[in-house]
Amino acid sequence: MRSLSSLCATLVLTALAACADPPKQKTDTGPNDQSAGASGAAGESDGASGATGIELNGSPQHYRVVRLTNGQWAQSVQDILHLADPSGLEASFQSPVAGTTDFSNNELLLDVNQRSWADFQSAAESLADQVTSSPSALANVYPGTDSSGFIRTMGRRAYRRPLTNAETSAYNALFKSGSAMPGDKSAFAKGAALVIRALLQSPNFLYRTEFSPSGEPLSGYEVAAKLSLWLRGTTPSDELLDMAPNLTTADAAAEIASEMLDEPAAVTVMRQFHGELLHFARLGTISKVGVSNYRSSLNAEYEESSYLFFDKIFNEGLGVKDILTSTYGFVGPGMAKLYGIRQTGSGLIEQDLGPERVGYFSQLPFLTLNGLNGDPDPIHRGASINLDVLCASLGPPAAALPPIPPLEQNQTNRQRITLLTTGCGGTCHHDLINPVGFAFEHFDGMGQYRDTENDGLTIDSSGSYRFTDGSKKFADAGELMRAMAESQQAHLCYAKKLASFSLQRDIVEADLPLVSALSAISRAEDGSVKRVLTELVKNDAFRTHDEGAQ
Amino acid sequence: MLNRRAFLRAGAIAVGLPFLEGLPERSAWAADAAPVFSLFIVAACGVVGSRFFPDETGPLSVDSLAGLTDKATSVLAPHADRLLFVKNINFPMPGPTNCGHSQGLCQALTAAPAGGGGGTAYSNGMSADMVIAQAVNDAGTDPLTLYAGNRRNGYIAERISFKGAGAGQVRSADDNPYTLYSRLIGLTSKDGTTTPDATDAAAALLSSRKSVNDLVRGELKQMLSLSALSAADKQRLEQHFDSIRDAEIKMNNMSLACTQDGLAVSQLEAYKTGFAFRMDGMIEDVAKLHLELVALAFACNFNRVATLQHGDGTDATKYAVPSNAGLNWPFHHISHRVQSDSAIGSNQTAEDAHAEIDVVRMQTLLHGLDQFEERGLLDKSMIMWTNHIADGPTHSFKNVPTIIAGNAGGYLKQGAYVDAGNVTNNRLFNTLITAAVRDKTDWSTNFGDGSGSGGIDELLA
Repeated sequence: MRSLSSLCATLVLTALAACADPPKQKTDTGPNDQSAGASGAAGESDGASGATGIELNGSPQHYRVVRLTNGQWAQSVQDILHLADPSGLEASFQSPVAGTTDFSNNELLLDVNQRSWADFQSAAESLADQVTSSPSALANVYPGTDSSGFIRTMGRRAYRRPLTNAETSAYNALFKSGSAMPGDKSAFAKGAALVIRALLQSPNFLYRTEFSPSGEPLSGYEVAAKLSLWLRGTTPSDELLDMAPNLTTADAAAEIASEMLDEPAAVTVMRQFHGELLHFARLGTISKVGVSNYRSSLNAEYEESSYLFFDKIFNEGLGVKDILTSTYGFVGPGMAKLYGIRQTGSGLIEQDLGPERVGYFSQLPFLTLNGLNGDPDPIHRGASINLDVLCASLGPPAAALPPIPPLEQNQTNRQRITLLTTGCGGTCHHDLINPVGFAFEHFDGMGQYRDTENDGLTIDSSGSYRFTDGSKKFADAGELMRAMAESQQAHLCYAKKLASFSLQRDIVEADLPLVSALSAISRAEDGSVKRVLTELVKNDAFRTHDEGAQ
Repeated sequence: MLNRRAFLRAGAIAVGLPFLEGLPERSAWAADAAPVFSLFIVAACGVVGSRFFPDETGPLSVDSLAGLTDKATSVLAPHADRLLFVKNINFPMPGPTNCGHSQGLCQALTAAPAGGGGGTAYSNGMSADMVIAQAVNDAGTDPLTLYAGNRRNGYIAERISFKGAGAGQVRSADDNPYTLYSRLIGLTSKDGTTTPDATDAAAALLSSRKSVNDLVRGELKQMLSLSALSAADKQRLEQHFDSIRDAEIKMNNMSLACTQDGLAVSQLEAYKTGFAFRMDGMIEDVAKLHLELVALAFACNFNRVATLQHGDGTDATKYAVPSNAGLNWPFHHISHRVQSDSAIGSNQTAEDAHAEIDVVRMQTLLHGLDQFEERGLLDKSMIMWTNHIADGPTHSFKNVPTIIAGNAGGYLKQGAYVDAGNVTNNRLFNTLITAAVRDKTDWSTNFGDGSGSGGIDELLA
């Protein structure tokens, strides 16, 4: 007979949960650890914040030097060199290790090692050769032929600030050295090529820096770089650099941020945020066995449908409440059949999905991903929402577990899972996972709505969830989603995740004032994602360098 | 001046780029000491223990191993006299406390208990490949770190090579074989000739690189002098500083086959664009290509240490083995014997499929050993194949299968299946690290954090 602990573990975190997405834990590296800088100043707690109930236990390092992401590097070099097309060179760059942090732009992942140094060196050489290959190509980068103007202009774009006198002198010497090198190009082109190579390998280009004293506002150039790399995914434009000295106030920074948030580049940035937050990449890996209405071609529809839903949330000034309660979704041809919706055309079209489909988590992508073949998977559904939407503390993942038994005659899926979890005590967190998962029992493993199951048995999707600001009862997934939309917890969680992505670091207990402020905005009547982001820019956490707990 | 890519592509380049990116002149090895090359392979989801190794320990021969057709390792028979099978090697943790896959991965090459769990599991120590690389590679030359599998198809990719203890210390791996190939193609030629133009271009490139490197180093020094920096910032910038190398032309004097012969060039070129290397079912092809490239990299003295993670911790590859035809389960579920990422079942067909997958994986290893042999590396290398758990259903950290190929320059026993004596893998790595760096005097033979100390005598020649 299997032990109770194993039984409990089944319910805590099955598949996804058992071998993925466990809470981060404090790291004890010992006194001689050379990597102490990368482990744990924070992270003392391995559970939920006492003040909010959500998990705030990361391991931020508050680096002052954070390397550009591969995407930021690619867009930056395209803009600095005025390339007509993306270089694509970053495709072969070393990529960050996925899954160790909430988001792939986390400071912990963005250093320069021997491999990435070689990547940057090779790419810089290739790009320099490309843009100096002809006079016309070089003129597109810089129209003049004076070395001092070239260095001043290119240096400011790459360093995201004007060069100092010492830096200018160093680049003048390098230009001179390059000009004298052998080769068929003009002296100007050869000098320019060497300067470009150096600029693109400089730590002043490769790292976004925050060198202002702790607690004091970042310089205007640092704010410009932080905003542009975050919301545009690229180096500041010449125009933004012109304005940079004036970006030292909260209002000035917020004004620029508001403009950026209305630009197409911000949509791309937020796609990355929502995609990593809710693991859209996993939608491409959905696999079903023995399900007649499943086609692998649906996976691409699910993925794009999800992105389009969140594009709309962002673009149309919507927010967390709408994520949780909107009855509209984007439907492709394959999805339309499953939804039972008539659809013309081949693309994904926004449709009213009906009153049973409340919020993103009542739509096909989430429900199908978290379904075992044709059956609903309340454990995964419940665990995913607890972890990703409510930031609940579910404790460490479980070891080897027993399988869920076959469904018996006259037994509902809910009864089966309840029986499996009964008596496992507090450690398995079924009190948090099961209610959320059971709320979706009207949706089978393909996300299709059903009134009954197992030869006509009535489905019970009601329950009660213990939010951090109080328990709430619900009759079904729709009521649960509306309760979540009104709860403080979902807004705190979203605020925490958004802050982590925006500040490029883990969020900890000390960040509670920031998270609470953002949550309040999100929870307000017009709590759009854009408003939350603008509030974030105004906050000292964005505009000063935070050393973290020392 | 040729640009780098043109330079790479300029035909018949034998000594140009290879040695621009090869090991700098300062080597950890004495001039008269032959280097040992180290490759560590960590496969996924355990093996079927009863159908993997011979039933009894003892000598291995081509004939005896080939005759064990019910054992997966029998496919390695052509290299039986170069093989050392080892039983009763354990990880330091007595068993999983949460996700056994991630905790196993974190221990496989570190011999230290894992911290955390699942996707955020971390190591509590540096991995053996890094220790060896720091001893035998030039400063800043990290091990080659490779991954075979679809990163989107699982949750725990890239968890075997660690810079040190704690979060953020795991090292990123290359999953596309083209990446390493593109860095190596300048090293090799089919005829071994060098053109004067190529040599001149190499010299010019080196000179210009030195100028750029000097400027960058100066800027890094200036940054490092800023009082506002934290210790973590300084460590990050110092790592950057140490990564910059003034590459130099250095002739290959390894007397090994540093040529493109044996490479599946057309297959590698096909991976230049797109993500075909991540398609389901490509994992073994990709692993084979990685092994081909590691052999080439070693033969060209490009690097002396490499790791290959062969499959995700929760590997979702759907292997096209006969017994999986009816199931169509991903490997992780097969290893669990039930269609679940977490639960444990007892499906016999799944066990059969797992055993067949073991055979497939041994065929991949065989391909790699063939490559090492053809490049004259087996007597100068050690190739360790292990798994991040012992078997699928139990996720046990006890008796983790261990295969060592190559004698590391005559240091390791060959042609035998031995019992390590139920020891933790810190003692295995004490032996292997010593084999790799044995002319170094500062190696303490005290790696990791398992039970006991010193090496394992049974492994020695």
